[in-house]
Amino acid sequence: MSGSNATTPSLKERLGFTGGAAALRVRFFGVIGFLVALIVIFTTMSDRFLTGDNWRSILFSAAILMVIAASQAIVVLTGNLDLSVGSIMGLVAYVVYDIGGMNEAFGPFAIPFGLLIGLVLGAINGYLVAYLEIPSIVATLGTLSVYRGFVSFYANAQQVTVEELPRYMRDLAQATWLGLPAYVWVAIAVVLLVALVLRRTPWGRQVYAYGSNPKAAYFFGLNSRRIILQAYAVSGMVAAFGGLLLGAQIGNINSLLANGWEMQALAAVVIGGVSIWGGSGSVIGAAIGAIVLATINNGLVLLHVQEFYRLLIQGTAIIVAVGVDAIVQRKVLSATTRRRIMEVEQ
Amino acid sequence: MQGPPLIRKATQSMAKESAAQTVPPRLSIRGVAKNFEAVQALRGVSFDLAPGEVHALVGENGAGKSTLVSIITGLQTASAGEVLLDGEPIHFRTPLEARAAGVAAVYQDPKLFPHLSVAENIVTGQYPKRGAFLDTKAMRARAKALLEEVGYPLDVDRLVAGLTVAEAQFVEIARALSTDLKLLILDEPTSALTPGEASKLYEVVHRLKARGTTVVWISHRMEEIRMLADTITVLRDGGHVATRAKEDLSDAEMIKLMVGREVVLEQVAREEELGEVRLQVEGLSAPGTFDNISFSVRAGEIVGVAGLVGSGRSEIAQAIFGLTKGVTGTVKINGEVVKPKKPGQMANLGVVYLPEDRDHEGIISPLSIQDNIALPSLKKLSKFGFMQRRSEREMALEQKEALSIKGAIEAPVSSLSGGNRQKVAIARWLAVGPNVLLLDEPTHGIDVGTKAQVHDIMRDLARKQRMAILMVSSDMPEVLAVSDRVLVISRGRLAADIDIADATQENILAAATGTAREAAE
Repeated sequence: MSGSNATTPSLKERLGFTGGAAALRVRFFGVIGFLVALIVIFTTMSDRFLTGDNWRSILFSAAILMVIAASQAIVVLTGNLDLSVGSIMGLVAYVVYDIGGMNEAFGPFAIPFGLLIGLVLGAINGYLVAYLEIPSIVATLGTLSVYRGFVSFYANAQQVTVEELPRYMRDLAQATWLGLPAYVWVAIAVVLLVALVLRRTPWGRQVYAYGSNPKAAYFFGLNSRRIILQAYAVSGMVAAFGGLLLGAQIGNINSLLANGWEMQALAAVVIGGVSIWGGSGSVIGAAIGAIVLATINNGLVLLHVQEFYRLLIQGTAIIVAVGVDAIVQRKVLSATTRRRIMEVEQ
Repeated sequence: MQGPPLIRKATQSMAKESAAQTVPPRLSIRGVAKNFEAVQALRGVSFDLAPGEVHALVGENGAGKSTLVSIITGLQTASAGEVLLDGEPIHFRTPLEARAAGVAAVYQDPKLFPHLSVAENIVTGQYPKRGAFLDTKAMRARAKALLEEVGYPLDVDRLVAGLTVAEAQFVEIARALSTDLKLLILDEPTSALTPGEASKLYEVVHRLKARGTTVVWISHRMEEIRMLADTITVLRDGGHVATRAKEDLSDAEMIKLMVGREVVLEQVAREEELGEVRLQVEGLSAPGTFDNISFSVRAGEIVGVAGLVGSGRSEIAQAIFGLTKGVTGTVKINGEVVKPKKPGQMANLGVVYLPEDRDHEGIISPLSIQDNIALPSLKKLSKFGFMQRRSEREMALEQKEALSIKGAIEAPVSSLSGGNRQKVAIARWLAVGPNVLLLDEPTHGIDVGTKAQVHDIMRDLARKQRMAILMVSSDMPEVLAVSDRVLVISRGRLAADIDIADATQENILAAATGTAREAAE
């Protein structure tokens, strides 16, 4: 009885390729495979694609989206969505740089103040979703309008000009460190920090646990509402930072800054292999998703392909990614919720 | 079958002596009651559990076992009464708090986080930390140690999604073992295990008991209870019936106590003759769910399907209605062989299924009574692709009258009582003119008065309107009052086919729990 086969797993089991676990792994490698395939295709079609300059350009255009994808991933891991990220970015950038422009002494506080606003806006989203139990797609669709409406009201058809931005932010946007745009290093740092928090802190593990199986979280006694609220708050903070980066990059900020970024961020997250059902996927994957989108854009521009095809390819990638996600999720669920009513005769 | 009697006797008498002296009971349940709106799930239950005993908790479906467990572990709060752990009153707000105090529960189907590793699942909520971060090394070590303690070593880095059901079950048990586990509640822990795996679990229980942990064992399997338990508590209809030492309670007596209510629902003798066979099922099997089920239902006949929740009863009805894939065997409707693939196809053949969860699956609650009744008959009621409101209204009124549904036909179904909602669910299918009705828990959560009305409707449909009715029910008095014949399903097999004249609560439950089978062997 003691020498059971559970102690001597097969090679397949030891590598974790059994049932739903195999499916999860396949998805993770899928993103990287997709990126490699894109690189191979574009390299064969254009000799300018695989050059240092071009890659600096791809990474620079992906940098802010990587930050926003990390922000979105935190929420998506709980099985929810945040459609208001673009509005949070715009609101934070406009308000912070506007106050900074009016008051010289405010300059050093721009980033902490911006993060605080992002935290509050995210917490509002989280409150609506976790405590008022409004489906996240509806709640954040509402705050998308409300936050954007607030910027319009606040901006009053004015814009914040380049000269009003704090000097150090302008410099950061144009700096190059170790041969790469500073923004790329900043984005990598943010992504790694978020990944570290989610992977290695008890808080991060609870986010994963809740997203993986909310019902089990309930039976286990995790404080599900607080987890969701906090996930949104942290996500809002990261989005705010992305908004500040975008504002400094663009320079002249109007009330429409970052309009529509939520769709890009969701696309990056989904293509990056984060499950829209929550509980699995990584922030690094989401960041790679952002690079994939930037690569598609870049490659197609190099090939002089029309905008229409870019959208077509991007859309197809999203559908394929979610389709794979759905299959994976079904595998995972069937592996763990299958109940055997009958005894297996031995 | 039984373990070494000497040791068992010794630990038992030790437990008894210590309980009899000054040591307070491990868990003392005092007058615990719980109401869900009008339904009383628990009505003042009181009993004690001694330290280091295995305490079997038995009772029919809906006897209040799960509610009691959820109150002890802090998932729900009691409406009245209190629970004392080692003499101290406890008020856990969440299962996590209960766990910290040494009280844990493991449920029938594993409630784990499938995307995470075995190690993480085991330490969730009590993460070992190094600074602000998770100490993965300590986490893996602890998980490994706990799995070894339950005698089921696994690679702790594997994802739970890749585990078998049995492996997942042991992960959950390992998770429940903290260093100071005082009370472990196991809710039908062996229902998904093979006999070999189950015996491993028995070993764990013996080891815990030796350590002084009290184990609550909820099970329907008599042989397990006989083998493991020191004490048995019987619950019935939310009330406490008896707590006795195992030796003082025979199987027959236990079953009697479990069902021992007075049967309040009366049978109505059938005068009409049974007609031809409407529904015939031969060798119906679905892998892992039910196996080789054969029976037939005639026109004018009501066949009750009894058995424990999770025995595969509902799944059989669903398979006949085309809701299940991968079913083998033959289904004949009015003598013709049919392959049930889709509900629509079966409805066209006059077969109709009413699910147990009527609020989610049976009716569309924001819509009016009229709209609900008309829904399956949309084609019949429309001309040139447009709905004929007048004939829709006529049909709804007719059904409302026939089933005496209370409320205006424009009223949303959500505003009705449970009983009336169920009548609407029945009405909408009757409007199609079916000849085979598959009912799953037709009166679940309905008050006694309306229950009797639904029963009258069922009798009328069978006897006057010559339908064949298959009724899945956990409500024993209902099964006895309405059925002409009772099929008992036990662990996916047809355990008994009893004519109503010979059916008693006792022999049905005995067949459902497998006692009859053992006695026969």
